[in-house]
Amino acid sequence: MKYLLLLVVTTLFIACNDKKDPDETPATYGKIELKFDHRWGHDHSGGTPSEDFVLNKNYVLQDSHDTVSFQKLKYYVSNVAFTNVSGGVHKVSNSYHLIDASTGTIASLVFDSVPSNEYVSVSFIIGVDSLKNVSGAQSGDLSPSKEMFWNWNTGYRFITVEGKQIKAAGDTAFVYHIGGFSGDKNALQHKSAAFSNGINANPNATPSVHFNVNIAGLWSNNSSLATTKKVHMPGSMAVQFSKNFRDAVELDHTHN
Amino acid sequence: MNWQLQLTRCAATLACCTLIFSCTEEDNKQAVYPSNFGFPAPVYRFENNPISVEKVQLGRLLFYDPILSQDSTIHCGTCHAPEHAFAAHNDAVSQGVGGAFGKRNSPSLSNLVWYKSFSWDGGINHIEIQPVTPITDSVEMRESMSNVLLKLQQHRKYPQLFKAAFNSEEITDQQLLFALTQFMATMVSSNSKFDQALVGKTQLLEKELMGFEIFDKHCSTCHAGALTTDFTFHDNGLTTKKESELGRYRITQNPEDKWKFRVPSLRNVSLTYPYMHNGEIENLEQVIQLYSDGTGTVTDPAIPSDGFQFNEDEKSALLSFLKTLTDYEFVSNPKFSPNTYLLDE
Repeated sequence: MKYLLLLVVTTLFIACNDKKDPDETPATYGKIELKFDHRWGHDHSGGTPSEDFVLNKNYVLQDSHDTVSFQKLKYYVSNVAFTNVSGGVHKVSNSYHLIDASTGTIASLVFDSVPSNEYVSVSFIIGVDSLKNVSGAQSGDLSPSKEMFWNWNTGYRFITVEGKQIKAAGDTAFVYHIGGFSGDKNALQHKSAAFSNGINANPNATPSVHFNVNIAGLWSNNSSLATTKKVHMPGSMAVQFSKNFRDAVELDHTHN
Repeated sequence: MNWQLQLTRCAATLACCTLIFSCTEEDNKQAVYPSNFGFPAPVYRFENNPISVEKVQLGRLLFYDPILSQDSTIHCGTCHAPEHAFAAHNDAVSQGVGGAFGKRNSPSLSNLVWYKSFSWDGGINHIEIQPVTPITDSVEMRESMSNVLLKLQQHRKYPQLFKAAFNSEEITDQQLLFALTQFMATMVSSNSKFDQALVGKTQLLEKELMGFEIFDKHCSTCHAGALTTDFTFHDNGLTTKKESELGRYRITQNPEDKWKFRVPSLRNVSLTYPYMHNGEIENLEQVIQLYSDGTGTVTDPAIPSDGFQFNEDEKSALLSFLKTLTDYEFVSNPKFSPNTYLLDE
């Protein structure tokens, strides 16, 4: 019954948001690139965290001086939508993108078939919307073979972070499997970012939107490595980590 | 045409049920059964997975092929044997790859398109996703989905069978799950003696009918309707509670759900021994005894804490009725037997 309600609500939600801007009848299309630049640093004053983030490299936490390294960092960016200067929204269809830090410091998503226009903001979900969590076997980046899927409690892991704390006495593993899509266990995080200057999608250019993802930001707001080494199911800790991760994703700049 | 026959049979049964329910009042010789034993509308409707002979046959092949397990020693039928209505072959809990023991009794499979959740704790929310659990669980087939796909892709026969079913060069896990779902969907059990009595094809013996009346009064609260389950979760008072097996709580984290497990379907129940989520009860007589005596620790409002206090005749009648839920046509249906010979062709 709960799922049914969820489905109905989600369907309504989608239906309501599917209105096309009446003015938006472009003859041409362009591309927009979203870049996720994985960083390591502690500067929350707006500057770029100084270090490139890669897997299997040692980093030091500022407050505890603990040394950590990461073996896995994967997360979903979904339901990407761009808002144009007149308020119309271009929603990317079937928009589910698994980002895997093993492919390099910067992950790039390129969206084709964006109607030519000036765009002033982007929004997306970090995670996978509830509907896809209750609708059976999916394909592409949502395939269970991507190993971002719980096999005992149906649902996607929105964010997987696995690594170890390096200690003289022996390393200690940490595992954060962050997911959950219903009620107070909802770990879906919406992110939107307004551009200081509009970007122009057209057939001759691929404008780029550059986000920094400061991995050090995972541990903040009462979630510390010392107290939490393992999150492996939906719940309040997963929700806290999902918020921390959302806040660690920050728009840096755009360029045409 | 196997699946078509199967689905047609099912639809026909449904239609007959409805017809008979409207006729029973006029027929004095026929026992009158409550009308809530008709099949409801199925939950799974093949919306994204249009049914075809090729997909059903491919699903059947995969169901019995140990290629799904890490070391090719276990297939779905290992723990879901057709002769036991797709429950385990006498094991309380089944052994997985490397001899690992699971914690839970392998459930009987039938009428799965009517299920809205799967597994003893209801943690799995969709029939298409259910096979991921046994394939990847470390105490079951202990395989990764990506490695299964690799093995299938490299197989001399599967690429052409997948292509015939899905018209695609690449084998995906979605196709694997769609095919398994289609075979599982054909496992419809609707022709037990009780089903036949409902549509007037046969009559229950007096003792079986007496058992039905007890069942209808005391058991059908939870073991409701044609599916003999309402898919709710209950603590039936088993005294072997463990902190390592908290049942529904594992999914909801709600303290009230500790040690609650899903009400299982009782279709073919005489063939699915042993019983309970951990297979701790050997036979149906002992199950009936449990509900008759209670355990003193039942807090569920559906079960009196000191049991239903059945007398010996009632216990015996209830057992007779439960045996009428056995669908011999279902368990001996050659359409559900291994078809791995297809790999030799």
